[in-house]
Amino acid sequence: MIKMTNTIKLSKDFYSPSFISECNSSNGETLQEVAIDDKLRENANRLLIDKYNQIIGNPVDEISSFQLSDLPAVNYFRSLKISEDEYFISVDTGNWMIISKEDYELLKKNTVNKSLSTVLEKNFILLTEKNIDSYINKLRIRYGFLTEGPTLHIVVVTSNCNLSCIYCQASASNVAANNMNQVTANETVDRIFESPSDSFIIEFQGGEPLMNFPAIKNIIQYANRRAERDHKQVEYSLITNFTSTVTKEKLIFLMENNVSISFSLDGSKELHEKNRGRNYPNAFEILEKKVALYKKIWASLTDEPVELNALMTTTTTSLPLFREIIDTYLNFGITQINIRSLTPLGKALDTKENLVYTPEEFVDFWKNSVGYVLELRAKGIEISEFFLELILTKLFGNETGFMDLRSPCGAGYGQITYNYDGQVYTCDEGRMIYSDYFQIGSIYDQQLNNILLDAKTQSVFESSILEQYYCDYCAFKPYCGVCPVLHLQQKDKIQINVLETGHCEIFFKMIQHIVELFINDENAREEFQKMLMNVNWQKN
Amino acid sequence: MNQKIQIRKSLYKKEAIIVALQMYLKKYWVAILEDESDYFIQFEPKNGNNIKISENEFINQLIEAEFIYMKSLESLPLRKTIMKKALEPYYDKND
Repeated sequence: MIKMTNTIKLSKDFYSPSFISECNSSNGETLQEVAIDDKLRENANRLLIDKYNQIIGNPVDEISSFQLSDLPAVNYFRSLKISEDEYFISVDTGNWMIISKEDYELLKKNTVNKSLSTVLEKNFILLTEKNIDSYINKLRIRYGFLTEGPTLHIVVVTSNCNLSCIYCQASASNVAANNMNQVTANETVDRIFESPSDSFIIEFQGGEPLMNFPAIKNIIQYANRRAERDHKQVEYSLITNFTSTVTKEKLIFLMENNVSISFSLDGSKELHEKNRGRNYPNAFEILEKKVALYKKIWASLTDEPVELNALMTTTTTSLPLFREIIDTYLNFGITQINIRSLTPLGKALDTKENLVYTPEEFVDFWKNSVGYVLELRAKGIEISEFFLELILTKLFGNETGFMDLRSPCGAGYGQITYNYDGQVYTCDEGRMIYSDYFQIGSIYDQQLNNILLDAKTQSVFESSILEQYYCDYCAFKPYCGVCPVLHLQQKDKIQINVLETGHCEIFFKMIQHIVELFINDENAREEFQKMLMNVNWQKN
Repeated sequence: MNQKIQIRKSLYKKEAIIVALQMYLKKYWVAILEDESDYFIQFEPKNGNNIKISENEFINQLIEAEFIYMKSLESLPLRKTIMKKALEPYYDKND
C-alpha cells in the first residue's frame, strides 16, 4: 500500500508557498526530493499540532443539546490496550475497569448485553438514571479545587544558600541583598490572607530559607495573629538543607509552631555529598548531627512518634543506586521516599555536570525503586514511595490535591509563589525559569484577586487544561497533569504538545506500571491495598 | 529516508489522521500531502534515525483515532451537560 507518487500536491496548510515552489518542477506537478531545513520541518509539525488543537477546541459548528432525560447513554471513555486480549478504560471521574477485547468491540459498536451493561454502569462507562447523580457528585468533588482559591502559598524568604548543589533548580546564590525584609514579609502575609480559602499552607523555600530566619519568624507570628483575627486555619512547612543553618533555637521555634520540615537527602554519604558541591565536604555528617538534634528536640516537646520528611533528587549517578538510596532513608528512620526526577531548570541544565538522563532511564530507576520498596514491605519493613502512593490514590480514590498532576495544574489558582523582592509568580517552578512569563504581579501594586484575574495568570491556567491536548484521548488523563513552565523551558512555548516532552513519557509509563502490577502481581496488589489503607493526603 | 503512506480520502477523515499523527511527532517530521483522492503522509525520522513505520500499525492507529475522534465528538454534548450540572453549586455560591 506504500506508494511513491510523482503527482502529489503539497497542502498549503503545512508548507509555505516558497517551499512548495521549491519542491515543484516547472510544470507544477512533479515532486522533487529537496533538502528541507529543520525550521520548515518544525513548522510542519507545529501546524499539525495547531490543527489538532483546533479539532479539539472547535470540533463541530453545531452541537445538538443533551438532556439528562435522554439517558441511558454511553459515557465518554478513554481506552488503552494493555495486553493482546484486554483494554483499560476510564472515565472523567477516574473510575476504570479492565475489559476483554470482545466486550470492548461490543462497547465500541454500542451493542452491549445485559451482564456487560451492569458492569459498565457500575463503573460509570454507561450512564443511567440510576448512577447519574453519583457520577455528577464525584465530578463535583473532583473539581472542587477550582473554587477554593490558592491553598499553597510558597514564600521565598531568601535566594541565598550556604551550599552550591550541582542540580540547584533555583540557581541559589550568596548575595546578602537577596533577603526578604520585614515590610515585604508583612505585605506578603496580607496578600496571602486575601485568598478566599478558609485554610491554607505557607511553605518557606529558598535558597536556604533558614539563612533568613528573622523573616520566617516574623511571617509565622504575623500570620498566626491574622489567622486568629480572620478565623482562618494556617499550616506551615519548610524545605531546608539541614546544615549549619539549623540551630536548637530555630528548631524549637519551628516545632512549637507546628512547622512541617522537609530536608534534602539524596542517598548515601558519597552520593549526597557529591550533589552538595565542592564547598561543603562534610554535608552528610552534619546532616546526621542535625537530624539527631531534631529528634532530641522533638522528643522533648511531644510524645508523638518523630516525623521526618526528606526530598531526594535523581541524577545520573543515582540511577544504579536505588537500593543504597532507600536503605539510607530507612537508616534515618524515614518511611516514605519521593523518587523525584530532576527538574530541568537552573543549574540542572549545566551540561558539564552531565546530570540529565532520558525519560526511559528515569522510569527504569523508579520501577526498580518501587520493586525494592515492595520487596522490603514483603519482609515487614515499613516503607513507601510517594508517586506510587499518589497514583494509587488517584486510581482507587479521588483527586489528591497534588498540584503537579491534575488538570488544570496548580499554577496561580492552586498555589502562588512570593519572591523575596515582592514579585509574585504562578508557582515555584515559575520563578526559576529564564523567562518572566510566570511573574504575575507584585505584592506592593495589586491585591491577590487582581493578580489572579490578570490575563497572564489566566493564560497559564488555561494552558494546563488537559482536555485541549492529546491527553483528552489518553486513558490515563484522569490521573495526570502537565507543567507549562517546564514546557516553556524545553520548547519555548506554553501551548503544550505532551507527546513531545519527557513528562508524558515518564508519567504514562509510571501509571501503566502500577496498573500492570495491580492486574498481574498478587503480592503487589496486596501491598497496594495496605498502602491505600494508610494514605492521608495533604493539599500540597 | 522519507517514507510515505497513502490513505484514501473516502475511507478516513483528515481530522482522524491528524489525531493519529500526534504520537509520531516526537520521532518524525511529518507532513500531510494530498491530491484529489488520497492523502500522502510523509514521515522523515528526526535525528537521522532510520526507523521505518509499520504501515499496518499506522492504519490500526488511524482506525482507533477515527473511533476516539468520533466518540469524543458524539459525547461532547453529554460531557458539557454533566460538567455544567457538576459545577452548578459553585456557580450559585459565586453568584
